[in-house]
Amino acid sequence: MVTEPEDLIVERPEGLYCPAGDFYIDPWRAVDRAVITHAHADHARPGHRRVLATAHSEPVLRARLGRLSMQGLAYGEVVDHHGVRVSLHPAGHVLGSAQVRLEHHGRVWVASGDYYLSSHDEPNPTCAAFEPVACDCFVTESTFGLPLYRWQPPSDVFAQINDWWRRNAGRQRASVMAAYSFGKAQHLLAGVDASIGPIWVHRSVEAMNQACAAAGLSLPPTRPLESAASGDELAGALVIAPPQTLGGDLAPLLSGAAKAFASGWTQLRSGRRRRGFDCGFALSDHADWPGLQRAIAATGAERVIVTHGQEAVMVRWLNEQGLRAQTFSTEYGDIDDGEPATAVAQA
Amino acid sequence: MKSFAELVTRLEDATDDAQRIDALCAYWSAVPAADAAWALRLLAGRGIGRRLEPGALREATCRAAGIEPWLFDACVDASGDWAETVAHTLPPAARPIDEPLAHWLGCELSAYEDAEPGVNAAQALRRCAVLDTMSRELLLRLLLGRWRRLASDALLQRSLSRHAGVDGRLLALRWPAWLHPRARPDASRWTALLRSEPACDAERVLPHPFAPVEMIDGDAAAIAARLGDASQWVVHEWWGGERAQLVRRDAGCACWPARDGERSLVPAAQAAQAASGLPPDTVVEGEWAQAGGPAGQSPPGAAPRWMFRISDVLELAGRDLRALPALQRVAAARELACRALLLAGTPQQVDDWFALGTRWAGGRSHGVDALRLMRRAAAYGTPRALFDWRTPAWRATVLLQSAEHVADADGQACIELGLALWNRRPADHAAVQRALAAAQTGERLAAASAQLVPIAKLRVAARQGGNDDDPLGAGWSDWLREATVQRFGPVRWLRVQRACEIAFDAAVPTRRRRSGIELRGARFLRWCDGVDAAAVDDLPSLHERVRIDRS
Repeated sequence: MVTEPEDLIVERPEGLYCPAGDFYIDPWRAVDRAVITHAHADHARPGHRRVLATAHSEPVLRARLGRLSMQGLAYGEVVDHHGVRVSLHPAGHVLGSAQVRLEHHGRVWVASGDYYLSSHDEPNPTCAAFEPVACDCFVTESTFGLPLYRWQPPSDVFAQINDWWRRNAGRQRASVMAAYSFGKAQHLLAGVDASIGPIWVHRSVEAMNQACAAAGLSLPPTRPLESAASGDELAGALVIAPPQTLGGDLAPLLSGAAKAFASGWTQLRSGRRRRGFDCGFALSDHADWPGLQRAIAATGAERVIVTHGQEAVMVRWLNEQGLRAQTFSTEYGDIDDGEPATAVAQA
Repeated sequence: MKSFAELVTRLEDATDDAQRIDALCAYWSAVPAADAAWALRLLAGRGIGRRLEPGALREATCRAAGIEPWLFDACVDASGDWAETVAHTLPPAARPIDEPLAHWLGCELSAYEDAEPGVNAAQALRRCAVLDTMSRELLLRLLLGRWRRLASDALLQRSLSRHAGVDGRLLALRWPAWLHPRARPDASRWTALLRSEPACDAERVLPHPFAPVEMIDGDAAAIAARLGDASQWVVHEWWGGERAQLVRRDAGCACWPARDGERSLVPAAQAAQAASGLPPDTVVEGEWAQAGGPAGQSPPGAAPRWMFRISDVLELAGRDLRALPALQRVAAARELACRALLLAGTPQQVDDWFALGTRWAGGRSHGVDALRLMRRAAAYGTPRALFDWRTPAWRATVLLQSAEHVADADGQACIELGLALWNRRPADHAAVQRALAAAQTGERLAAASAQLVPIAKLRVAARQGGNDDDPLGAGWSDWLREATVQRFGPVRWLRVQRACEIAFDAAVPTRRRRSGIELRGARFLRWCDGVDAAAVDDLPSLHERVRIDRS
C-alpha cells in the first residue's frame, strides 16, 4: 500500500505500526510495545515486551499468553505516548475487544481490530457493544465484506439452536456445538436455554470461562467434558468444544452425537457442511455487510484502510462510494485456534 | 411455505435416512393435504420450468440491493448459487408472510405466464420482499428452473408408508402416475395415493419382499474364509441385468424391479409377455437381460429385446415355495424356462472355491458381472444366504479434464469429473505438450495427431471443505480453484495434469463419443499423482486389455 508521510499507521513486516508513537497494533511478530485489540490468537501473539489492552481483556490475555507485562485501560481512558493520545473503545467482538483510537497533531485514526455490528440491535451480551468513533481514517476488518452476508437477529439463531438441541435431547442424543474456546463459546453459553439439559465443555473452553468470570462475566454452570465416563453420560446434553478437538481422543466419546458448527460462514450452504458437521448456525462475532457500511459511515472517515477478509471487494466498493480506500496486508484471519497458556503447560 | 422451507433445511442437515423420514413424517402430519401434495411433487424433483431469466434477475437484484453488477458477481462466486445469492443479498423482509404452499404455488405461478423477463424479475423480487430468506431461495430456485430433487423416491415412499400405513409396494405402483408432468397435485389425488386398499387389478398383483443380497469381493481365499464349505452353495451367473420379480395372478401380470421406487427399464409390453408365460399364481425372481447373451446389445437403431433369466421360484401355481431350500427352488426354475421370454439361469453346485475362482477369473470378459451364490439349504429371505461375488472390474488410468458441481437424482451434491485418455501414444514430449495445450482450450488437432479424447464422466459425492476422508482428498477445493483455466457456466476446464485410476464394469462401442466406446459403471478409485500425463492409458492399449462388448 502507498502510504502518506503523515500516516499514523503503516505496514511493517512485524505488523501495523504507529511511527509517531513507536508501537505496534496487534503485531504478528514479537515487538517491544504492542497495543492488543482483543485476545484472539491471530491478534494477540506471544513475545511482546509490553502490552496495552483493555482491563476487561487482561484475565484472558494472561491465561492465553502466560506471563505478560501489561497495562490495562478502561474504555475511553486516554494515555499519551510520545505525543500520541491512545484510547481504547468497545468493538463488540468478544469480551474486552477494543478499537484503538490514535490522535496526533490533530489527526485521528481508528484501528477497528475485529468488531461486531449488524442491522439488528442485538449486541453480543458477553461484551460491550460496538461504539463508532469519529476519525479521519478508519482501519477496518472486512471478514464478511460481501452483500450476501446479512445476519439474522441472534435471538432467532439461538431459537434455532435451542430447537436443534431439544430435538436431539428428545432422541437421547448429545448435541455437540463446535465453537472456538474464547468468544464464540461464551456467546453460546450466554444465549442457549440452559434448562434443556446439562452443558459440558472442553477444558480449553472452561479455562476461558474462568478467565471471563474473573473479568466479571456471568455464565451458566457447566461440566468438564474430560470427566464424562462414556458417551451415554452425554445423552441429551449440549457439548461445546473447539472444532479441532472433536477428533482424536474425544471421537469415541462423541460418536453418535449430532454435530454443528457455530460460525457466520455457515450462512451459506457451502459453509454448512464443512469439516463433516451435520449442520451450521450462522452466529457470528464479526460485522456483516450492513454492519461494515454502518460502522464506516458512522466514523465519518474520508479515508478507509481495509484489512483481512474481502479487501479487494471492499476497497473497490468504498472507492465507488467516493471514499479513499486502500488495503493493509496483514496476517489476521477469522480463526481463533489459540490454546490457553495453562492448558499448553499441562499438555 | 415456511414449514416447507424448514422441512428442506432439516432434510439437508440430516445425516441418515431415519432423520429424513422423521422430518418428512412430521411434515405430512402437520400440513393440509393440498400442501402435502405439492410438497411431495417438489421433493421428488418436479419443478415448474424456467420462469425467470438470470440476466433480468441480476439487474433487478442489483437495483433492489443498491449494488453494482460486479459486486453481485462477486457474491455469486462466493456462494456458487444464484438463488442463494439473491435470497441473501436482498434486504430482509420486515414482516415475512407465510402462506400455504398450495395456495402460493397455485396463485403465484400464473403471474409469470407469458410476461417479459424484466416483468417476471420484478414480480419475483416483489414476492421475495415479503418472504423469509429460505423461502426466497426456494422460490427463486423454482423460478430459475434450477429446482433439484431433495429426497429419493424410495425415501419419500418409506415416509408415506409410515405416515399413512399404506403398503410401500402400492405406493411404488402408483408413483409414476403421481409424478406425471401433467398430473396436478391436489388434495383428492393425495388421498388416492395414500389409500391403503388396492384400487385396481394391477394393485392386487404384488411381489414378495426381495431377499437381501450382499456384495462380496476378493479372491477365492477370502470367499472361502467368509462363506465356509463350498459344497453348501449353489452358484449362478449374474449378467448385471435388472433384478426383478415377475408375478402372474388371476388379476393380471406385473414386473417389479428390486430397487425401490424405480421404474423398470423393460417395456411394459415385454414384461407382460414374459409374465404371461408363467402358470397362474406364480412368482419368479431373476434378471432381465438383452437377447444375445451376457451384456448383449441389439443392433444400432433396433429396440432391445429382453429376456428374463429366472434364478429363483418363490411361488408356483399357488404354492408358496419360499420356505423350501434354494436347491429345490432353482430346480423348479428349469421347468418354467423356454416359455415366452423366459430363460432358466444356470445354477451349479460349487465344488471348490478356488476352482470356481479360476474358472471365472475372466468372467468379465464374458460379460458376467458377478457370481450369485445361494446357500443351498436356506429358505428364501434367510439372512446371509445370498451373495454376489463380483468379478474384478476393469481399470484404466486417465487424466482429469473438467469438473462441475451437480446434484444427483437424490439431490445430493456431487462433483462430475470429465476424464480423458490418449487416442494414440504420443511420439515425444513436444507432442504431449501440444496435446495438453489443445485439451485445455478444446482445440481439435489433426486426426493423425496424438490427442486427448474424452472417455468418461463420473460423479463423486462432494463434501465441502475437504478432509482426509474425502474420496477426492484434502485440499481438493483449493486445488480445483487453482487448476481452473476457464469456466463455461458451472463447468470448470482444468489444467490437464492430474491423473487418476478408475474402475468400470464394461466397455461398449458407441458412435456418440469421439473415443468410440462408452464405459459402463465407471467409478473413481484413486488419484495417481505420481503418474505423468504422457503415461496414462491410450485407446489401443485399452482395446487390447479390455473386452469391448460387441453384439
